[in-house]
Amino acid sequence: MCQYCLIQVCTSRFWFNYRHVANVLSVYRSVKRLGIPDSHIIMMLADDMACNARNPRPATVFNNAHEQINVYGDDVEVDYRGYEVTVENFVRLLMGRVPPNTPRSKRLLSDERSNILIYMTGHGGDGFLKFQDSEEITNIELADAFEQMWQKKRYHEIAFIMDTCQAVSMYQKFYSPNIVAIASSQVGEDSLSHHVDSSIGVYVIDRFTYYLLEFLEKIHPASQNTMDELFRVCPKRDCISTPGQRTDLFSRDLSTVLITEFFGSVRKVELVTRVVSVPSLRDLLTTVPGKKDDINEGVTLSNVFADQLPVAQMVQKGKQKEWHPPDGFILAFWALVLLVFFKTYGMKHLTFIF
Amino acid sequence: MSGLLCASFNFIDKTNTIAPAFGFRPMGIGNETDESYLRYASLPREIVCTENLTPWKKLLPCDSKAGLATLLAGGKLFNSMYYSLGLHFRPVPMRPDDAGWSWQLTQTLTVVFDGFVRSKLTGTNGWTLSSLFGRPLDGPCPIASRSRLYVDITDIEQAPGFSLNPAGTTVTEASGMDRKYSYVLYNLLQPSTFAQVKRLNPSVNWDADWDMQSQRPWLHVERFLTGVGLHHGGISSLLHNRHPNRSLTVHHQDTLPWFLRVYSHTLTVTTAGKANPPSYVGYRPARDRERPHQLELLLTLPPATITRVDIQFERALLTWTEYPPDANHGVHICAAVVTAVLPDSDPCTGLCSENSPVSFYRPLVRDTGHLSRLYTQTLLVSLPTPDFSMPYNVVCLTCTVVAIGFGSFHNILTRSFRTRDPAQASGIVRHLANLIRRWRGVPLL
Repeated sequence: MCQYCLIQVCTSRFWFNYRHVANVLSVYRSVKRLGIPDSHIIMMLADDMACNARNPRPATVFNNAHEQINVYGDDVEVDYRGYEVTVENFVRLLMGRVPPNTPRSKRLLSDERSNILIYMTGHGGDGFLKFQDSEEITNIELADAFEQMWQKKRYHEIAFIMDTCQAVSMYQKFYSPNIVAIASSQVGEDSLSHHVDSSIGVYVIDRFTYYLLEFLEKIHPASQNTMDELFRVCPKRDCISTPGQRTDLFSRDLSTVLITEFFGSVRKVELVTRVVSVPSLRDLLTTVPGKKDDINEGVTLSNVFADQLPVAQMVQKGKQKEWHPPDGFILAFWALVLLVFFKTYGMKHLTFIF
Repeated sequence: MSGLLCASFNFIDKTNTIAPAFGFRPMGIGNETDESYLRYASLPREIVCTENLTPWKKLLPCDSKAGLATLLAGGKLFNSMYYSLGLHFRPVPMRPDDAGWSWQLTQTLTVVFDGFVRSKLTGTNGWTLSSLFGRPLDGPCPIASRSRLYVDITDIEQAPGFSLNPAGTTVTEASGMDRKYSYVLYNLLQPSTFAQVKRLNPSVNWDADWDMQSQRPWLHVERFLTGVGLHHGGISSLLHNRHPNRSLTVHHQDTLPWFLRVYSHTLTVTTAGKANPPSYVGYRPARDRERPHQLELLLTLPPATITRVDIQFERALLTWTEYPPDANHGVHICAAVVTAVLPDSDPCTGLCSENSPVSFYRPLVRDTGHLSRLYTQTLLVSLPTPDFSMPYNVVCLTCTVVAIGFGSFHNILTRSFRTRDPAQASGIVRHLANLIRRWRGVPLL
């Protein structure tokens, strides 16, 4: 069960959308640094940039032309990648209605005490976000998904950050409680990218995320910065677009909510003076009657290795030809059938056929 | 598995799974397994990157914090010519003569680095461990029972100016009649390895003007698409047998998706222009949206020849929802698998023969020789794609026609029209409007 969960979605495919993957990985890196472990993070990347054939520096994703930090790093776990990033998978993930054989790392294991941070980036428009160049999620669907989550008690508070064009339209339809939303541009405005890295050849980061990261780099797990500082993180002169926010659904005053309550994993520790004795695993196992220690008990295998290439068997199988009836058999069979038919019903039918 | 390794194994379903009859045999002990339970599937579009390496490293006893695994940094590994991660799981005997058995998990990582450092100063070519992996070795993994580094010097031992520092134990191993391997062994668990140097960084150098003549392996396979256009096409496999006087028996297995309509009567196998009929052909045709084509051949390759396997196909149209989001990229076809038992004299790097000191994971074969399984290149087939904007266009057009046609008809039928006194405009507006009307010559307001 994650008390502090992070869901990150990069919805764009193709090499020229490198900056969206860099956005997501930068936020991932900051959040991991502040304490949220990989098991509580769900990352959805619609395309692979690091090991893309076009990447001049394989296994790296940079968010800065100076290429100081490789945000892809050596310790990254991508849960949904490539074609798996679809609207259906995203909504199923939020609502918990995933197929029964979904592994734990691909499920959102949240309950009514979880603070979930959702970060989405990609190409968007007025009321929708484009997934993988082939489908969209609308703001109404997203609002309904959050309402389902609220009714199934799958979150305590949600912080929703969106870095796309016309991002404000995505949170306008929310109606569930305890959601704070921050978007990078108003309806009718485009969110712009920050700068291009000429050695890679694409834009490497978006403006809003760049300034958001500059702000997050100053946060450490014991910071006392509050969430309302996020609203001022990218003024119009830096972002060119006007960021927006929505706080009316949030029950607490945002100047009292710490940033680490969403971006970090600050655990509340309770000191207990009562002594608790924990039984050892060996005791637990031996108290179960009839249970053997070794699951392989009783299964004996002959100490023989298989013939890896059974040539003789294959040649013998190849020699077996399928039985076919003798040549002309089918022709003769049908001639016989016709003959019997005309004999029975009279030769006058022959004129109709021939 | 897909959650464990961050790979999309959930895309494996009945449309890309086959039940191979002869190509794959159990590599562990106890070969009374029922062949009908065997399945083989391949995802050609999957990418292998750091997100797969990270959980793979976490399965190792020391993770990537100590021992040989400290060398595995994604930046250097994936910037190479070829890399391959593997997990093998099989039952093995506890001791050669013991009846007891246990499970063995073998994790393999194969990387092919291209090139070596040319030093103009000293006039030598060479490489060091840190030039390949980015860092030297600091020490072994303390909980490992065996931690060894082998440097194969078989091909460059005789080079002029050859030097290898620091010195390790030389191990030679003869396999077959004409092939002898020499390795230099660094045993990381022995304290003497780190006695002289704090960090182990083997470096190999040889004279710049000496060309390394390494022998090419006996069996080599390539595969490519033939044909032009978006209707017909063909797949050709070339199997090279480079042994001068020994013929090889190989098993060739192909999985083709159902939407490539393969014509099995066009299957031809030729060697040097003449037909070379296979000893066994196992063909299972596809069923639309249910199973793929499965083709298994047992071929005999004469010595020093190239055998060509050709098959023709036609592309089918899919329903518009079945195309992937980047449909114009094309679809990837799985690699063909070529299995052969090669003689021990096969020039092979390291892990090949059973007697080699480094082979503790290879399946132990009863025949002489070692099992070699080659995977060919994956192919990219362009499919004829429909115009994906058409559903949107049709919806717009139909709605416009309905709105204008039916809408205006409905309005005329149901609206009642009344005259209405025009509203008196304010004084100044009326004055201005009258000015314009006087100029135009129409009646005033």
